[in-house]
Amino acid sequence: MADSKNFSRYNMRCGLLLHASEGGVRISDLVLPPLDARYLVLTGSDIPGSNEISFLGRTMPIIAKETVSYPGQIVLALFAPDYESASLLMREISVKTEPIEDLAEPDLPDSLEYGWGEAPEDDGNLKEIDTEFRLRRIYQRNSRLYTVTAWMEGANMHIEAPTEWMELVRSTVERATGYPRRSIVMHALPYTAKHDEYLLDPAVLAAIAATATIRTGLPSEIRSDGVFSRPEIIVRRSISVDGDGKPIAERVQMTVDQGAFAFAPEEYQRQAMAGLIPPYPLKSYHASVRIASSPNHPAAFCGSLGYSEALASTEYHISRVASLLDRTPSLYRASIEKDKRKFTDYIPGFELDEVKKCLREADDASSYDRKWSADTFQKEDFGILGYLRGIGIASGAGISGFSTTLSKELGFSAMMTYTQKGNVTINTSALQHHGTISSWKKRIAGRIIPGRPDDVVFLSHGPDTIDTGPDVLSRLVASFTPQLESAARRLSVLKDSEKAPVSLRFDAENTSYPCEFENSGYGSVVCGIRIDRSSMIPMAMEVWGSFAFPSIMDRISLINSIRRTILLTLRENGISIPLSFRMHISIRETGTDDTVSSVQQLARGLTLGALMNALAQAIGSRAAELPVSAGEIEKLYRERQE
Amino acid sequence: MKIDCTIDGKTLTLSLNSDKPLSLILRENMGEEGSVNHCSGAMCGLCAVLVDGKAMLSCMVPAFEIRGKTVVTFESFRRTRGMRDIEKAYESVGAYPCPDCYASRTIIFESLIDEAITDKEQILRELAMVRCPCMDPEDEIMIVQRGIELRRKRNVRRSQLP
Amino acid sequence: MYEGLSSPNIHTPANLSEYASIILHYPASSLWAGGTFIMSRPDSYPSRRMNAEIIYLGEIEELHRFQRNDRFAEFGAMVTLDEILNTGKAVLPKVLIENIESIGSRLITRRATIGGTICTEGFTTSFPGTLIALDAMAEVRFIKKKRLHSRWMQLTRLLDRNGRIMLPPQGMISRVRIAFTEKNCQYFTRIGSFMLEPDEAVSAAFTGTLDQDILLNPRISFTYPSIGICYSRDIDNIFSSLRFPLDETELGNLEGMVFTFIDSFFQGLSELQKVRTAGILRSIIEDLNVRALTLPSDEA
Repeated sequence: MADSKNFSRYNMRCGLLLHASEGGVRISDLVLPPLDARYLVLTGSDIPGSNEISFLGRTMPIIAKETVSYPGQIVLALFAPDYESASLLMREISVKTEPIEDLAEPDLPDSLEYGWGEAPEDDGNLKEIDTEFRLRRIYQRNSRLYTVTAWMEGANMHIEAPTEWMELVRSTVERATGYPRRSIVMHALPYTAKHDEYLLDPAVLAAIAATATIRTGLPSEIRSDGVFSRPEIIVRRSISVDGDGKPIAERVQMTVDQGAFAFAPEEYQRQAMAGLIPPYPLKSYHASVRIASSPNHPAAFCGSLGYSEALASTEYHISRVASLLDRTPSLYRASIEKDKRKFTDYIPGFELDEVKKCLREADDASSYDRKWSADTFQKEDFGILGYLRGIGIASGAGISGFSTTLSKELGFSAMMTYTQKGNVTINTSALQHHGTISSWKKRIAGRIIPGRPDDVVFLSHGPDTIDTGPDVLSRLVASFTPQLESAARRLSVLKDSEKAPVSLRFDAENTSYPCEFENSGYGSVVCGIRIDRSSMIPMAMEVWGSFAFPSIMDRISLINSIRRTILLTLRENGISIPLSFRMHISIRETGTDDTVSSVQQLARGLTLGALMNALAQAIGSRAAELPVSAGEIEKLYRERQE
Repeated sequence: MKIDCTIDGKTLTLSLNSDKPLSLILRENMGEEGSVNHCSGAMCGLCAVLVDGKAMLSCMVPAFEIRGKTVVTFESFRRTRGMRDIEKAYESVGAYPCPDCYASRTIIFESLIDEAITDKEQILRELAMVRCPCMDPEDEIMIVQRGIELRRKRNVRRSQLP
Repeated sequence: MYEGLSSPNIHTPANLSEYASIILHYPASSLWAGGTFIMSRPDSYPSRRMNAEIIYLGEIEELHRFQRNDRFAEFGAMVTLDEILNTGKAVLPKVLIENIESIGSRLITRRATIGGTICTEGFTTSFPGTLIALDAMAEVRFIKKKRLHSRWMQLTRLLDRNGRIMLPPQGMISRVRIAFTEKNCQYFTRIGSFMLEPDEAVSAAFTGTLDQDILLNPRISFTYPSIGICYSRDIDNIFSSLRFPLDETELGNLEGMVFTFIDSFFQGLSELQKVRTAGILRSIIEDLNVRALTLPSDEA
């Protein structure tokens, strides 16, 4: 079996993709230039098997067939002897479309509803406050070019791809080409996926490349740049507070437009619900999360499946309510929060002291209270858009991985075996990161075969590999690590009582939690922004962050990861980073046995919340919407002037 | 057209399209997909290489301009002593680029350290070419300053050897 | 395969007479200076034109020359922006240095040439606007009656009605002459990225001498990358008629007059570009106000 490509580029077909320019249309005509036998065009009807990619219970076409659901959808693939010829010919292909009157709605789940208590009777003492949190769709082509190659060797189809989910690639190729699963050999390429762009696309490209290989009998390579699409989110809240500003009842309505195809919508609802539940006590709470669709690019994980955005909306809501009650957000928060959160179906009732400690640290380091008051007074003096500065705060807890419900449904697992030779083998598809594997080896060896980490073997990827699921939401680092340790603990007992080899199959998700998610990791972020008056460019001035985690394996990596997530979140939401920008991050170890959370998910949610709060202070809450751009601020400025 | 050049220490005669960008040559002909990107004009800054010792964006260098030149990519630079200085600087500052831009940013750090550029604004201007938002300006300045210090110490030690 | 089909022919003349004979043989050739602009276009490779002829100017020795005397500096068209910065940072006008520094990294300025930044097709860089504010001259080489001719022209004379630099057919810029200016007020500002947001970005260059409360010989140009350069003697004359400091009403009037001219030049400006232009104008005037009020009497 070849471990890597051993063919000449001169004996290969190079493929490029044609993407649709608009969605919600029917392909009426496809005009191709004359092509000889060296070229191959693949459309939706040329896929020999199923023209579908299936993931987490949902399906999506590999290549658009008759109808184009969203702009950017693959319309055809063109293979040529070299990329130059493919590129030149691609420019001559034209696709004619006509609008579809009655666009079929994708199958969407019902609204997820959750809550407790009855709304209290209004005896005249209650004040109702409405807030709205809006995130517009982000659709960006990732400038990073990546390549997927397929080639045949004997009876085997080899696929080389950067992928976060090898088994998805294998199963998609199997369904698309009819090639038996056992004959598909995977070669993983290294990748870094800031927005989980290597989750679905590599499987789609692999299916197309494998089809081209079967059709031409030659190795086929296809290259493309990834796409990052964040869903459009609107969270409307209505809170009733008593005369002292104490929250009594709250209604929340979250609408998420996931684009033309829903991406794990039920899980999105659960993750979002976990983030929507506020940290302060309420007599009555009711929330609903509705998934909607539109002819736009399907939204992907983007480093979070709703939790970050929902957490940000909650943090924004708290600060808005405080501002409307003329209270400093951090002080208002301290006055309404108890020592412990309420236990709910989605997130446990954990102690809030660590969150409060983080909040205090970030608040003190940034002089948040003073700056918030100064900005507010200055703004009153200078009027709307006269004093373009703002400071925002957000704090909360993190979660990681999938919900208990999804884990049970999907049954992703892994297997650990104590062999006759006294070694330990692990059969899992989670083989992506070299650093993580060496850390896992040490931890497993420590439990079963002390001092022999090299004898812990992660079996290489093959047809019998067990699908451990996608490497998203930090689940293969955060949630999977304690499961490996727990399995190792159980195996160390079993190996003494049973005859080797002893195998143990365990779930790749924690299924023992009483709630959908387990909290872990806490943090607080303060963000200061300024809008340049002549260029209208929103700029981040300074960010302060304080985080606490149960255990810290590599302090530098962790700080770097937090810093990167904060910078990425600011930039992707339209905030420019000037040369004078400074960031101050502190992390603490709490020493508890909690699971490790998704650092990115937490930092992303808090940055988003703090940024939205800062923006609301700088340009007004009715205009605060992310991502923000100089053009929009200018429009707002013009409207106000008129 | 036939082009003679040296890439990563190998003297090569390549048969290439005359205006093919160096970034695509490195990706397609030299198999360096991991360390060199090609963004088709999106100005990602993830394709920096050293051409005759100077950092350049390989997407802006056409094939005909590399005739007789020496190209060093991150793949060969990573095995040099210069790389060790930069790694030490990353370690001592406690910040390093993300895997996405590691190669390109490291090459630019090398050019700044090699020329001993200490002007803070100039350092940030050079590094702003990499559009990946994974590092903050303060860390970048500290890495260059530390790298220059380490490089000087190494050069002094070498010159003191008999 | 593609190489046999469509690889452009590269001509590398070593001097201007070789260049002349090549351009006469291949009149439809494209000129290639640093290549930074051409290579950064999304569809630049593979070339759309089959069997294109490219004349690479990098080997022409005359185009790399740099000379200066006490009145002006003269750069060959292939002198890179980085070389300009290295050789003339202390003596060249501040506005020019700031423009080069605003371009950013030496990864770009090491390759971008002064000639190349002036002659970009369908796009205007911030550079020619600055050269116009400095009243720079360019030596234009062109083919007439099968011979290569040369003529020194003010850069403003190369501006067409649409604000683009236009050269005669088969023409090229071989040298650029920049006078050392004694002007005490020089500003260069660029907002937004010319390459990434051409419909939002704007740059402005201003030079003038503030003498007591009036401006002598002011020149101002605004550049919009996807539209062109806005330069008019009429705008310069408005500035000449001002007495500093200006109050808010006078500033508003000035803004109105300048925008009347800009609007008559270009209709396609985005609202953001207008706001940014107004912002730049305000910051220039605010600085001139400060200088008018604070300059020592012997200087003011």
